[in-house]
Amino acid sequence: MQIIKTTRFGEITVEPDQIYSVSETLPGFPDATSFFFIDRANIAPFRWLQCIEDTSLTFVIVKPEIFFYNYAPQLDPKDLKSMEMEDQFSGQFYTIVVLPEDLTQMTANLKAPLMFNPRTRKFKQVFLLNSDYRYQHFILRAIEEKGIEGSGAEGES
Amino acid sequence: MLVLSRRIDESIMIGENIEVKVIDIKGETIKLGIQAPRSVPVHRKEIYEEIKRENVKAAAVDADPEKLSQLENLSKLMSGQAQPPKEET
Repeated sequence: MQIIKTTRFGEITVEPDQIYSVSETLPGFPDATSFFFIDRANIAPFRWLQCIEDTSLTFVIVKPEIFFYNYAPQLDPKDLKSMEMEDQFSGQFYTIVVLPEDLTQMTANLKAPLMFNPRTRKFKQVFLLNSDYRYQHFILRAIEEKGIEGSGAEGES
Repeated sequence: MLVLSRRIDESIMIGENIEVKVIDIKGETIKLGIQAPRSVPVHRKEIYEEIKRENVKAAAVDADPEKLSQLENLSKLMSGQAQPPKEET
């Protein structure tokens, strides 16, 4: 059991079986290797992913199929192998959400989601093969359009 | 930046654990093989930069739970599962 003094949530007790380790460091955060989930009822289905090494580092994440019902990740087989997974169905996908000042413009990174293996308690950020997924998909647009088409930001994927 | 010239099948070592090998050269395109520890992400640079940029933007989250619960209500309304605003205690 550890007590983590987080910047946003105060002191939180974490059990070993709540901790997920990166199998590959996240681009931009080479020193962040251990994380755990923080759930607060008032923001469900969004969850916080809190870093242990850097107590000021938290991501807002959400299961992509909640807003993008037709989310169908196509994985590089090497990612499955490195995560010791038979197929993508043994994994849990979460997308990292960006919350700008204007919350109606919040975006989800569908192209590079986090893939968790609950059995090994490891996760990594994978780069999907889907050609129509972008790094920024407007969540509100997806709710309106009911799916992925039309919700992507312009630009290269 | 350190600049080295290599031919096909020749390699470069970066530190103890990373090897970059020239596999093939076709016209202007070079095929590189990379061996690195599993913990080290390896991507084409423009992809790495793009993922990194989005991660850094996401990490700068101003955690105002009230903002987020407003959004949650909004999303529930739009998916037809309207709920009355929760009372804050």
